[in-house]
Amino acid sequence: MAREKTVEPKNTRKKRTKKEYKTRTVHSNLLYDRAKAEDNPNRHYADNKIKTTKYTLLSFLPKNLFEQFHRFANVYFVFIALLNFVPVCNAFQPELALAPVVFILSVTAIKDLWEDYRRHRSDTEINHMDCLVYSRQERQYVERFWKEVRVGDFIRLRCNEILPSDVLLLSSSDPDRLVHIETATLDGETNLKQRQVVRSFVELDCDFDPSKYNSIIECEKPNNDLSRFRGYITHPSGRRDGLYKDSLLLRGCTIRNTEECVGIVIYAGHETKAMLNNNGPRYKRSKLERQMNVDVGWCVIILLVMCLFSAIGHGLWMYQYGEKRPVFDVLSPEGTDLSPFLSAVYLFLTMIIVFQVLIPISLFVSIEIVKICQVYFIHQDQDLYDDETDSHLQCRALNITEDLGQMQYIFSDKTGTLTENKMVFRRCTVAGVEYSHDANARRLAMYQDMVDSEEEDCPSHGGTLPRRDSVTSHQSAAKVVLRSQSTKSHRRTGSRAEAKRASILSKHTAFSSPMEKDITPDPQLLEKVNDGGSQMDFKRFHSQSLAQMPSDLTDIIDFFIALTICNTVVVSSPNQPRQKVRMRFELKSPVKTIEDFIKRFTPSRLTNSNSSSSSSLNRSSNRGCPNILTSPSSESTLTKLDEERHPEGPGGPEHTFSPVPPHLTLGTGYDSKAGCLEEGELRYEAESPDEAALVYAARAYKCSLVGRLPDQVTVDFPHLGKLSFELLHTLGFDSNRKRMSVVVRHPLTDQITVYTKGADSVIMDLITPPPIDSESILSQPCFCSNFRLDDSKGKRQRKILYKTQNYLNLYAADGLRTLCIAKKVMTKEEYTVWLQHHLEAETAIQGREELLYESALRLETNLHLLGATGIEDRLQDGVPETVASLRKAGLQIWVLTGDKQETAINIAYACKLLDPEEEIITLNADSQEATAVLLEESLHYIQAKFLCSSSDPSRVYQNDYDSVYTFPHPSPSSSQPQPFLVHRLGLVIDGRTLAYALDCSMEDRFLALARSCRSVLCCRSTPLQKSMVVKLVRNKLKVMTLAIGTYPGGVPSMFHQCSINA
Amino acid sequence: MMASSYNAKEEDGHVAVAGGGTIKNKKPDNTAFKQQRLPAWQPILTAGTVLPAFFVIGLIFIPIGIGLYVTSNNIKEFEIDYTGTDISSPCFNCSQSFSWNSTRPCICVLPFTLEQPFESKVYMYYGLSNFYQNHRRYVKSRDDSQLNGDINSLKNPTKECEPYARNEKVPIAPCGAIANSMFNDTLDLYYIDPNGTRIQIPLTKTGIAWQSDMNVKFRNPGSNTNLTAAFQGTSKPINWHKPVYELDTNPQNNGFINEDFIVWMRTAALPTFRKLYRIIDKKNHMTPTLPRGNYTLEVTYNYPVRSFEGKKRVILSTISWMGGKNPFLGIAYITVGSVCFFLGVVLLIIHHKYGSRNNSADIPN
Repeated sequence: MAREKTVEPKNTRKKRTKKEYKTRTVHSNLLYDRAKAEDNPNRHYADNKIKTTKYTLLSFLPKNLFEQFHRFANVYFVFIALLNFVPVCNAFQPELALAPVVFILSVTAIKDLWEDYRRHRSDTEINHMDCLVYSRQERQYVERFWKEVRVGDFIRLRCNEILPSDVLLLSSSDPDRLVHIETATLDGETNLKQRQVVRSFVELDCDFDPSKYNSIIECEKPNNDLSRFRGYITHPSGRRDGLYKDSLLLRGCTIRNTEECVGIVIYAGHETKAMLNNNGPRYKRSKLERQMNVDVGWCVIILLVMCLFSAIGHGLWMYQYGEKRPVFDVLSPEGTDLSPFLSAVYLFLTMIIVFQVLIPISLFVSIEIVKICQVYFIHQDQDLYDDETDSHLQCRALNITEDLGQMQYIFSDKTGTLTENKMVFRRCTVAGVEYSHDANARRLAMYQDMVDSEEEDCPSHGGTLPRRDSVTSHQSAAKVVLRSQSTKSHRRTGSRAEAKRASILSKHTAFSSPMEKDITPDPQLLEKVNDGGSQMDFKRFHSQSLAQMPSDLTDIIDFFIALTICNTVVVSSPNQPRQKVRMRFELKSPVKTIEDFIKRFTPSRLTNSNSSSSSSLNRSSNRGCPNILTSPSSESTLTKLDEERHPEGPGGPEHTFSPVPPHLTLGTGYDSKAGCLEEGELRYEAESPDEAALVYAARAYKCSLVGRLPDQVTVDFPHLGKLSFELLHTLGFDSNRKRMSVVVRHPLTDQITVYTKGADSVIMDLITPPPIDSESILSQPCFCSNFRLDDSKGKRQRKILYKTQNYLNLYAADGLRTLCIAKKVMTKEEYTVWLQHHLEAETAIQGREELLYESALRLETNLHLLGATGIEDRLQDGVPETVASLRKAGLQIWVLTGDKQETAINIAYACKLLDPEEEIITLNADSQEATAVLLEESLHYIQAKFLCSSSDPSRVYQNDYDSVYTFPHPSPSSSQPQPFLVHRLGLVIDGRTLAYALDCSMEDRFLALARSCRSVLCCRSTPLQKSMVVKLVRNKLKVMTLAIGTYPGGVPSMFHQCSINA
Repeated sequence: MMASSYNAKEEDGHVAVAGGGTIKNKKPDNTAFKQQRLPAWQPILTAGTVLPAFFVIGLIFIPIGIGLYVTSNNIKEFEIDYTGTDISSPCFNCSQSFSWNSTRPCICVLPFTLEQPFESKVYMYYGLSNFYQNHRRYVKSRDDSQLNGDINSLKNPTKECEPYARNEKVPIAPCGAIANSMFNDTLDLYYIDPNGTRIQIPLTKTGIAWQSDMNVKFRNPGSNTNLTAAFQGTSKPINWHKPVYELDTNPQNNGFINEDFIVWMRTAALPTFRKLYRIIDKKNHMTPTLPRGNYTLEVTYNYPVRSFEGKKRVILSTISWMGGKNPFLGIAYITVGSVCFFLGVVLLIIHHKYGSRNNSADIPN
């Protein structure tokens, strides 16, 4: 390594000119041993050693001085000091005048030096982190420092390791050849992302052997686009395969849920995408600093005027003496007389020195010191310390802290900021029937109370008698809380201990705190599921057609199928944390060609999955835990659970209290919480908390996902046993479509079925309209009789649709996140047609994303609605109080969210952003004109209603039930200088209308309207719209804005991230 | 995107540290300083504190002012201008000479009459007007180490003294513009007896400079008593008539430690200034220092002031414990005291009339 480095500089210059290709070619380093190191084409690429320091020992002084002279003040002071060295105009001892400048420069230099040293230390620390690199000599992976990793090296990464460089994934221990990574350090998203082994290496069965690798990779030059990677790999056989960003693991990400993987380094060190993106924080100037610069500017002008005045006066004074030179007028050192003009010019310069105190040199220094003190106190504030994570507030921008007190507008994200981003399944509706999951709601209410009581009597962890008492006593309280639908149900006073425990527990698996995991099933639905399962089993056993089943039962079964398989959840078993449950019956790749499809689909197969799966399960458990005596298999656990919960299942009526003592279920929940995970229990590793919540919900109904392979999903159903669905396609979630779909072959019916899960607004539009519209029935009452059946079916469909929509609105009104589940059965012909297009899209090189998107759109039509779910995203601690106190301080709070309007409104009510007493103006428009009209109307309305209030606030104070807040507009530079009234009004606007309202012609009116409202809620808005709103307010109103969000890149605003979670 | 790699790095580092196993609580200390609970005090101004303060200030300042004013008025001062700009003035002829280097001394005699006797010690000042001794370059044009007796500086005056550092390569002692422009008129005072005889009034030359200047700042070069030898190799300032070692015959008042010289070297801050010239000591308790009667001032007119429209005058003055005649201080004290007293009365009336109406409003918190 060291030798190579010495060689490198000589060659770089020469080769660099040659190397100006558009692409980068990466060979395996193993092909070139030491003797041939000269020939290694990878040697020109940057190595993995990073250096973020600004200075070296030699360059420190000139570079630092140069940087310091970017500051106007420093230049000025040095200029003054140098002026003192000019003999004709020196006023003070030149050496003495230099002292303060040198002092300031050296203090700053020492500070920079210290910061650079810290950077250097952290660099060294990172450079000396270990990773496994394949060594040619030792023929195995050996530990190397990060800095020794070179482009072309093979590195092996284990779970929870951090990637040392950008790596192309070649092999994974995962049976699906997948790797999950957490990209929180790059984009702040805590969702896990899947990365796939390069396609040509997927087939490799055995372990990947780097020494046999001799393909050549050609890819793009290093760039900073995190979301793009293109290239191709050429195998020695001449085969070429495309490389996409879903096989690239980026530096700084963390490997999760995968035991180990192997990859080849593509970009290293400073050429990694993460490092190229690291342009340092954007420099934000604080208001104070800008004000100070203006004031200093005025000081300079005053100084110049004063100097000019003195100089002119001096010139005139000298002139009046004329030739009679007074005795006190000293000649120049050379003994020559100065003309009045020249003497005035010299005096001007002298006066700049004499009056230099006018420019406050100490102001800059003292403000710096004050800021440091302020940051120190912010750091030390106990109110800004979080016990749960043991962390302080982190102040990332030292120079804008004082602006925090000047905020007038707060823009907040909803998910993760107001709410916890911890999804809990609450209720669902299937085939138009609502299952309210009261027991589950009670359970959730109990969680918070349990935590409370736990904090009261910590030692009684066994939880026998005193605990049960406290739980039951709290239960009644919880019931009241739930019934009244007050905001209290969203508050979790003592959630910290729970969260802490959960965070310890879920160290390995994301989104699996007990609260999210243990869902109490709704007895009615559970019964139906059992019923449906047994009926299906019966039908299958007697090989009857499933079509005769009651449609609501099939819908329920389909609903749960969709919940379990329409996702990207990965299953693992806890005794072997990183080993996925393998249930591979035959290795098949997803449908790749039409021929393949035809070949595979002509013989109708029915997998007898029951026997094989159980054997495979045994296999897995055998392999999983050698000491099988202590650990029951997953199956037995499930049955145990079943037994435990059984009395509750068909139990009491829906809305009454469950007669079963709740501590029973609580007990199981608590056991798992207490730290020892039930062994044998399957673990779900989801990319998003929503998915996990749904899968856990389905598991509560014994429809548990037991295995997932790229081409096959195995689900365990009551009575039916394990069913394997052949997974044909997965059309992943994207924010434009707002839905995801899977295409599977149903093992029972052998039909090709599409399951779609997505936001209700989009799914509802895609539902097949019932065969006959109500209007057509009315207009043509006597239609042919063979439509009778369809008619009744259509009627039922309509009813379901109508009911579901109603329930959806209800869910939204409860502040739940709603998702719709739908399915579609495809005929083989339809599928073939679609597949053809889809394969074209998949193989396309140009515009692959767009083509895939269109392909997905083609598939997701004419859906059959199965049901909907309501997931609760719980509010963070103390949000209502925080909002109220911010409001009291006169700040305007805008919430920008991507959520559904109703959900957003209800969350807003829950966190006291909207008040039930205040009026809400809702803007929903379909077109530009409609938006304009709506805006006009609203403005007129406000004027009409509150006109009197502006003239005489005190009178209105008596007339209206509440006051009208009058804010004299704080910024005099604003376009509207008159005091601006903020009424007790809330404005709700949806994304589509917002897009129209943000148009240049309307933004003024929109702003005028928004400003007169106390709070503004933008729903269904895209990240781009969010940033546009912030920009609009900041630029037009010239006020201080604060954006709060959990993802740093999302909201480009004055503050990139500042979580105020009081 | 800002939180990309540098943050990533920090977290990487954190991971590595956590691997070491040192987990300590980062909770901030609950100390008064860190939680900003240090005791603080802020004066709350109420009528009860403000009104007495006004009256007390008024009652103290007015007597002080009166005392100062009376003292100042008791000081006797007599001033006579001898510039000779007016054609009727005895010094008119002498003043017509611009030159510094006129060898022939011009003497003019000015008669004046003191209406009141000067009882105590009398100080005799010369005053100059329009002389900008505070000129920036003028003020700096001196060599303090030379004046302090440094041999090196005597031979090599600092460049601050330019262009009065050397005369034809010979170093000037004392160098610089201040020394060069030293006041060199000679003033003599004669009392005309009622019977017509002129009696010269003895003038004390010493004790007119600051003690610190005399003993610390100014010192003759060399250790020997022979000043002529000590100043060997230097030339006199251009405008001077005689070299520095011939300023006086008394060796304790000669050379750089000549008190007239020292007084001149302490530059005035304003263009119109007076400098102490001589002291007239009191002879005995019975007779006043300067009895009422006629006097003549004999001026050896050397110092040209016409080039800068200057004025020259002689001031005779007694002093008191508060220094020379200065009515301003007394007037200032009286004015401030009166204003405070008046304000106090006004505020008292306001407080008396309106104070009880809203007691809570004028005291925040």
